[in-house]
Amino acid sequence: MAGTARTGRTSEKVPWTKREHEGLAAGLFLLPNLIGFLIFTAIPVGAAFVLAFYDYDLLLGASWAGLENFREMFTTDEVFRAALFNTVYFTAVSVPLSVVLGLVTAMLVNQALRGIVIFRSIFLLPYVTVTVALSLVWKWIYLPDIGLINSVLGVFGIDGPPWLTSGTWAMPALILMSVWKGFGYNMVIFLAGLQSIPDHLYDAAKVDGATAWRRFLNVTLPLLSPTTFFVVVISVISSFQVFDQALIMTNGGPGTATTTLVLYIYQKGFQSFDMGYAAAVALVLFAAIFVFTVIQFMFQRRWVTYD
Amino acid sequence: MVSGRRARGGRTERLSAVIAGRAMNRRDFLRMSGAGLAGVGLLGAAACGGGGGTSGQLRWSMWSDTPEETKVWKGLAEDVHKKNPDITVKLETVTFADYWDKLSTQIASENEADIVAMQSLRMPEFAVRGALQSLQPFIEDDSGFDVEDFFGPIRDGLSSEGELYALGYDIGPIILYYNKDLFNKAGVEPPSPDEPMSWDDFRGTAEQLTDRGAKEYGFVTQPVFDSIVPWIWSGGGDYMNAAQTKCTLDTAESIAAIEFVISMITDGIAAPVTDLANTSFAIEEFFSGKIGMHIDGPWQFINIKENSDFEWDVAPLPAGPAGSVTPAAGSGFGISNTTENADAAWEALKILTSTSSLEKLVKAGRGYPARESAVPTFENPPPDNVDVVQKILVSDIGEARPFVTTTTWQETTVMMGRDFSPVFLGKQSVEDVVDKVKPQFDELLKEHQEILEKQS
Repeated sequence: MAGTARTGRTSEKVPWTKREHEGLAAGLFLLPNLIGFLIFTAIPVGAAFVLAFYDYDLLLGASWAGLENFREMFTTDEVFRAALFNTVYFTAVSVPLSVVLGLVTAMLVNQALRGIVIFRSIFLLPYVTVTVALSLVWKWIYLPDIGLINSVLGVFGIDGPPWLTSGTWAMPALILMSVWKGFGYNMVIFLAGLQSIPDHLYDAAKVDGATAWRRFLNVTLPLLSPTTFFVVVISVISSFQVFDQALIMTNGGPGTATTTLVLYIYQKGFQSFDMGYAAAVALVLFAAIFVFTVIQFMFQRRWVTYD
Repeated sequence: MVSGRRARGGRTERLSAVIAGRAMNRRDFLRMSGAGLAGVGLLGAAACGGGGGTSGQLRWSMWSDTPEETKVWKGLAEDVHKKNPDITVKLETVTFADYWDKLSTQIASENEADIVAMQSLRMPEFAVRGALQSLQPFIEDDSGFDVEDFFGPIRDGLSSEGELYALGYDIGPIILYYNKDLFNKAGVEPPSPDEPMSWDDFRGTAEQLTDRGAKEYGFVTQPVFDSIVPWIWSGGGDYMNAAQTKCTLDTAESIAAIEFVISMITDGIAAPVTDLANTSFAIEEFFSGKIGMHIDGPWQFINIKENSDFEWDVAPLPAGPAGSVTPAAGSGFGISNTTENADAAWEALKILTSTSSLEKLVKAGRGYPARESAVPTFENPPPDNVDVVQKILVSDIGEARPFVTTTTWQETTVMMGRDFSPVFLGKQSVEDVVDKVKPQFDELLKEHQEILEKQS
């Protein structure tokens, strides 16, 4: 019987099996990350779920508020509504742009030319540079009179808007800067995807008389679809969390024109001591990201091929 | 040790009073939410330890944005040990912008330093949340200590409900800075250091200094609510009533005053606002040498000296219908509510804010001293008219009023910053914005009153 065998084994202190050894080793290797994840992610996230239902002033203590935070958010809080709209606006425009731009540049730099590594690095540079530093530089680029963009527009006789202080143009300005910063990452992922497509498929398509455009549509795009799926999911998630640019370049203004959800969470939690409300907004953001991601996974069957 | 326990007990009583009527206190709550066990355990461990009496090692938390600043504060910490070898002060610095987040977190986890830096504008908020203990008992027990040497406005600014919570190190009434070179170039008489000019004169002068072709403007204002407060007061208005229950920005005086300063931007005699996210926007414009006049505190002396290559000086604020009324704000150091070493902290505090310490700060260019006895060190020109500051502080010129804030002031500032920004850009009328701001401000004042009630 298995039971007696097992008892016999433990009483005789039989050495660990290979499988048990590997399990322990894996556990030990995972431990540092797991501890960090628990302390800095899992526990705070868990706490945020609870806090969202409290009226919690960081220093004064907490009292049960039930759904009050959510009621306020969805009925009277105009800033929340604006922040939600701005975040969706930012995501809806910046994700398609940075995905397409990432794919186009990936195809451009996917060539065996001398010095191509330099080009790849240049496109990736903005992504690996600190957002705060880039934001400061772009603030200069966007200056109304002496900024780079309006100076160039001025050469063509166009009177450029005061980008960052205009209710209409502040958000497009943030989007442009963010796309410029982020598309290099997409490029790298697409590049890896492109290089995993076997050459013989292109050769076969050529033999069949397919044009370059046809080869792109019928070979590259389908075989790249898992990569595209990954890029889109990651881009949507990170766009929903946009924060640094808005804080440094416009501080959410003018008015609420560039107040994003994460900026609003920061203002509520750390500037207004209103941790409960901030947690509630964070929960809504989490729900929005979660729903979007689930929807994307549901629809992937229609367009993503894994062979 | 005894005093330490007393302080801790006091804090607990205060906290439970503050949250009386609520379902549970913060600690129970943290435990329940699950985050507490790990969080309190980790952070609580660091809070333990420390000796008693008037000796021991003290932690001092302070903001500092440059290595030079940190060096100055470190020097003061060492002075404490030199003058009182029983006490060692360990300085902990973080940037001004991050200081307040860090302090909030430390208070929440009861891991505050023994000596805590505090700004007058944030005093009510942190006092009501139990960050500091009242200095009143220490002052009463210490016959050798003369609190009257600190300027009135800084004592008021660092008090809450009539009790002093911190000893000041600097004080700044808002004054008028002007670019002498631009005045000479335009052939305009510079502002008098003794007699505040009228609003009409101020506007006329700004107009004469403006040369739009050269992008030179007579005036520049920081696009935040704080910078229109001097105008509101000098115009005879206010932002809230004395009882702190109602927003009074909708009075005719307040609206006229705000319109006066905003009209300078919309009429093109003050620099257009091009950056809403830069807290140094206005002063940087002034550094550029293309701005005639700017209002700011005396803590900018050092920065203007370092960043400008033109002659400049200072004068009192222009006088509106109610005279030249300027808000005064400053900073100081208090004793944490959770310290186990309050008596030693008091001894250290006295040394940190002594006349000789403040003289050192002045020499390092770290603002205008909070003590009258430290003022004479303030001599290296420019500005030639530095005595304007003292005349304002002792009410020889105009009036310096403490910039009164509430226990919900941070949220008020965020709201004002957001809703007033279109006004500074000339996109929305003052009356429209006041209509929008007033109900929100009233609501925040209601919350402020509720917090005060729960405390008492």
